[in-house]
Amino acid sequence: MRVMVMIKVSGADESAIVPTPEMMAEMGAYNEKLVKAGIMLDGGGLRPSSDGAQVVFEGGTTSVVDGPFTESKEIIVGYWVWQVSSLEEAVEWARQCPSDPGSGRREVLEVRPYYDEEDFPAAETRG
Amino acid sequence: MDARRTVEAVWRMESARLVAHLARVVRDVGLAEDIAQEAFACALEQWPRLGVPDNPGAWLTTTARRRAIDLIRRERVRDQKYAQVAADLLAPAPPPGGAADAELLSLVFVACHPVLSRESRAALALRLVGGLSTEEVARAFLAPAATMGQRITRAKRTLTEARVPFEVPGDDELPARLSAVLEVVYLIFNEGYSGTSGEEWVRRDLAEEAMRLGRILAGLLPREPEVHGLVALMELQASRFRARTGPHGEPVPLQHQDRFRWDRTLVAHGLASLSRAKTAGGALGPYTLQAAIAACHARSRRFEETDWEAVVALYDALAQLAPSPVVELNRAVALLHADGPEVALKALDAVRQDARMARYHLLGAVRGDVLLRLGRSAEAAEELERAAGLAPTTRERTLLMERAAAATEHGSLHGARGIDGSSADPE
Repeated sequence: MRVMVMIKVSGADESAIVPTPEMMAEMGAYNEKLVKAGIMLDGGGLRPSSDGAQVVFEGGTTSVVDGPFTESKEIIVGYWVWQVSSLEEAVEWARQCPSDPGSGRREVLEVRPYYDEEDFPAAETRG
Repeated sequence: MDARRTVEAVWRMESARLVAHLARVVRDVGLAEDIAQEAFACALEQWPRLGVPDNPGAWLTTTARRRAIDLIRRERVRDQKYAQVAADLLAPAPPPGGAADAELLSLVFVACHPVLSRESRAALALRLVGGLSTEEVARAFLAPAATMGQRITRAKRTLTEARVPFEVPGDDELPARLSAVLEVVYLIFNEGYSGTSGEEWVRRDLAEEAMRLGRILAGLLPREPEVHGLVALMELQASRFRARTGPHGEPVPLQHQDRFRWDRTLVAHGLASLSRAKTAGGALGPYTLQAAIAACHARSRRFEETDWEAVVALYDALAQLAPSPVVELNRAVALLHADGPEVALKALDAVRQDARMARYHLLGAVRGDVLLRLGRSAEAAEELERAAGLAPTTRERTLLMERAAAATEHGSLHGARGIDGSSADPE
């Protein structure tokens, strides 16, 4: 199965993220572990939401909101795409992710399985 | 989270390195696996009550080493080895990295050792390196669990009896041994990818497992171009998984696949692996060449945009390296699109000289199509009917009979005009 793992922090904390060299090294080692376990398909870190924008669809109107999204409860700061054998396996890998207890921040790794073809039994096969 | 499922997940993640470490210490893969399983039995018993430890891998290693020491003290069967084994067990386990990688790599080579049959190698690789249960391996190969259990037990005994050393082969042996390992991984992949029986999801899981094994191997042997080549080949082929069967399970040839349904994540990873294979140096090996061919397809948005000249050139190189009539047949299909039906027919007639192809239905399927394009409908129909007679599955037989009938009809209706889009796809 394939999962996406999203790294989230609260919008208010976003600007406070300045990874220490130690954390960078630990994350590097963790990423290497994922690659060597054969589960890593993709991954990336995202620039702060101040560099981003939101396109909002609401009540028939479309608006564009420039970042930062300080109001957001959770902002995605990075993600991985893993191929694992079960949700439990993904959770165990996620649990091993290094974190900085001294940062004072709450970080969330959200693990979400992809839809599979079998989830759409009646889907048209030609797009 | 269910504790039992968590323990199973941790087994999938940690067992290969744990078994590899124990095998180096106790010098026996079967015994190492037994000890590892005892440690997991402890986990199954304790974790639901006490919670999963923060570092499950370290917990298991410590528990397993304690078990190993108990076992060796109790049995003392390996008297002459006892002192050394005990010393090894009392020394700290190697940290992740060089030494631990060497242990895992040794396990890979032992599981795929030439003293074992191909089937046993595949089963052991899945069991020991992939961390699959015997039931899962049995399901993968459509064998009863008891049969598979016996096969695995026998394989482990063979390794013990043959005194297969637990080590990475030396430089002189490495190329041949590595190619045996790659063969096993690709065999597992094809069991999943081309398997015609079994539930679709089981087959796909198996292909995923093979890709995972390939990527683990690429992490262990980053300088071996063919390892990356094999990973690329598997990923690029698997990227078409969703598109290659129709709503009723019928095969959809490459030409008619909806390329928007190709898995772009796998394509991207596969292309990256291919470029690693190419930059690792040396002449391109057979897996890298096949991956490069798959990449020609992956890169073109439409069948008509395929760089057929490049495909033909790659098949030329592949035929030089690994001569086979099936490669020649695929080359002829590429020639059909690059240079037209007459050139393709000439190439096919050369393939036909090979006695091994006499009963291969895809040769007739391709040749029938080429004849049709040349306007030789009657010959085409005859060729397609003969191919239908050789087809291994009812579905393929029916498909070929339909094409034969269409060819006959076409001949009487339209005279000398080829039917577009009926090209066979032996890939």
